[in-house]
Amino acid sequence: MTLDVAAARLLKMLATAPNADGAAPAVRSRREALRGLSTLGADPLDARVTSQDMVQVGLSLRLYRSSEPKAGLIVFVHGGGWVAGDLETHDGVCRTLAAESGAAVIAVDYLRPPEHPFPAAVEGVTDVVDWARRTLRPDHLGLAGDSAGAHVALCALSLLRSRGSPAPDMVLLLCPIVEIEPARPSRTTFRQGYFIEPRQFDQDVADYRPTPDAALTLPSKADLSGHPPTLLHVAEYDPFRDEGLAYAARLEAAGVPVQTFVHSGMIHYFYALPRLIPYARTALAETGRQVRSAFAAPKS
Amino acid sequence: MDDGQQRMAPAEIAKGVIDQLLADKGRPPAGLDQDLGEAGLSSLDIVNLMLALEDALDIALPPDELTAANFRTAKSIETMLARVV
Repeated sequence: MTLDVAAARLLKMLATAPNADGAAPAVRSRREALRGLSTLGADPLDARVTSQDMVQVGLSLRLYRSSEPKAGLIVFVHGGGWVAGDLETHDGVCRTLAAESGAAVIAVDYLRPPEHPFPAAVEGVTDVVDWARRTLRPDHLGLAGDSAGAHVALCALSLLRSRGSPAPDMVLLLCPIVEIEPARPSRTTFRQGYFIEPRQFDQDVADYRPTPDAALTLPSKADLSGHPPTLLHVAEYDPFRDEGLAYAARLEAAGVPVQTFVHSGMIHYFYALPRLIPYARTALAETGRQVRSAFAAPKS
Repeated sequence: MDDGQQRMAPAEIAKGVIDQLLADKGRPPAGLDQDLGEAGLSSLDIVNLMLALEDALDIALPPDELTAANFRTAKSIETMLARVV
């Protein structure tokens, strides 16, 4: 399918920006830019959901609850190239997921590089998953992440396993970054002008400094046998598309139930920009309903 | 859109939108020929400006007009709007 008209317009608008192909901006500008874009792209707040900010295990968290009775809980790990993104940039995404799934959502304001390089984010998310299971005792616990947040979430699965903690009951990945090295064709095809600028990504990786050790395997190398059932969403015009699809194939080969959704005509991060890319509303609402179904299914 | 706004020329509306964006950042209004980046608008502010112009004028800017040159100054935006509105 061709690039979605609204997505094409957004890419065109972003390309007019001064320094669109210049050096990666400083950390502060990088964070402000994502916050600005997220604000521009967000719909009005979903009134079906209430939120409450709290501090647990040393991290700021935001708990979203829909007005329905709910059995499940999703720990959500935001994207933003590890360096950027926060509770505000993904507020709309979390609200929609809570509203459409009926589950509660806990967004994690994990410690970001470069101030806190790898594995600070992973350890924080792992602590939150453990805390949520122990304290909130949900009937079903999901772990979700988008973009770089998905990479953190997948690393957290590895750390949970090394700690001997129970794995979540399901995993939700939105346009995940699975591999650090740009080895797949989509990284080349959509290298420039498809939302992720290569210099920016290189700088993000340099700040994140992911280095595996015995207790923490990177998702590209992880043994996926026994991993939780996974819902995986990729966008057709996304540099990270092929590694997402390859990860789905690895899950399948390891015998893990995986449902893969390829969003035709879409770009990275589309799901968070409903005002700019209206298809995001349909897609994210459907994603929420998939979570609802996953939580309604009997545990394996 | 109320009657008062309908009587305003697109150029005036555009200047109002630009100056409001600058004011939101604590910056003074831009001169007609001043580079908007130098006036204090970031790349995302320019995207915001495009969307705000579309809202204020109730138009969709043609993709071919979404160029850096068209959005460099208030004057270049006026010229572009004269073509499309």
